Amino acid sequence: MPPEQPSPFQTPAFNEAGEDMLNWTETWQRRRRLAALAVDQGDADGGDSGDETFSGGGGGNDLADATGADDLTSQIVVLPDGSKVPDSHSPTGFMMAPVADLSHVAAAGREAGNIYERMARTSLLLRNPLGRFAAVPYLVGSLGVHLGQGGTFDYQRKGNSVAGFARLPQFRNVSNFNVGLFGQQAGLSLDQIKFLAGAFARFNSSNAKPDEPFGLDADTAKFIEHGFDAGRSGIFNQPRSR
Amino acid sequence: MLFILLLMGFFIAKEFWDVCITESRGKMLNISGHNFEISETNCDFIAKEDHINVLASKPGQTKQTPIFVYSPGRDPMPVIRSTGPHSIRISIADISSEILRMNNWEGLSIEYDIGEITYPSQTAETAK
Repeated sequence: MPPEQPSPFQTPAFNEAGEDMLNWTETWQRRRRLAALAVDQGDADGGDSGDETFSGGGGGNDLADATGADDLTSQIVVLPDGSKVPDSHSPTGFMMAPVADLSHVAAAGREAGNIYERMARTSLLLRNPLGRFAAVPYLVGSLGVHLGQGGTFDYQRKGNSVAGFARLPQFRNVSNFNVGLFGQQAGLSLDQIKFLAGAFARFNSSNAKPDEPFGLDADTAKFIEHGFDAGRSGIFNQPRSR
Repeated sequence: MLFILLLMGFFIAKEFWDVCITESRGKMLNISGHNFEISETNCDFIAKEDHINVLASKPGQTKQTPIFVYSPGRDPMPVIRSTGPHSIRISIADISSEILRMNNWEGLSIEYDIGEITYPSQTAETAK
């Protein structure tokens, strides 16, 4: 039987110009293997599930090279009741973050909500509509500072607007989770959070999905909902009653 | 009032902040007579979203047209192969959701081999 002749139409999937893409794919796959390996080792060492930690820093730190980031420690998020958040895209099967405990996200959300409430109440007592006028931008600004690009709880971007941002895509889902958790603890409804989160996507991105509620990707909306539900469940302490 | 403030904020953000980062992941030249580039766009304002864009162009032309845009799953990159003089197949093991899928572009027939779509959409934009 003669050797199989290559199809006249067959073109290598990666030609010379595609080498970068091949390298990037290998980096991605290596990162997933490192993550799975590190978690396996953590289990083998008898480590507590809440302390499962890995770093992509070994072996030349390919991801760090790719992102410019220098701290790639990841941990499985463990909620205050001991549960974890399933994440089918995570190499561990659970949502990963730079920190395992997100209580500080909830606390910051409650603080922002309390300040907003005080500003709004004061303006009402003083019959000063300008107070209310200031309260709303405070809340929106607080969302931006904490959850916006490079914000305190935006784990998927590292850096600043001057020097530029490095992307940490492995933390995208937890960053969306934080949006839901922070907003819920601040006293916003799920629809309000999704409206705020999706408004910019509709306004700015050509990839916005007008057919989806609030223009959000299904994955994005799902993790915002997970964060909101976690906050609403009371495991992070009760939010303010509004 | 909240709406006006949001609009102002969004306008400022759009004009002065680079909230979307697009990085090229590679180019593939002369597949069934067309050139392709795969890029990844990450947008981050309040919601954080990732999209993989497969862009097609004709040889000698710089204008690129998105033919397949999706939110990635576990498998980040598609593989593009020629299946004939005027046809290609885009293969990927899994994606999260589709945003745009073109079945024909400038005489090029495009087939898809997608293993799993986590969030199938009946209304993903398609072009026959």
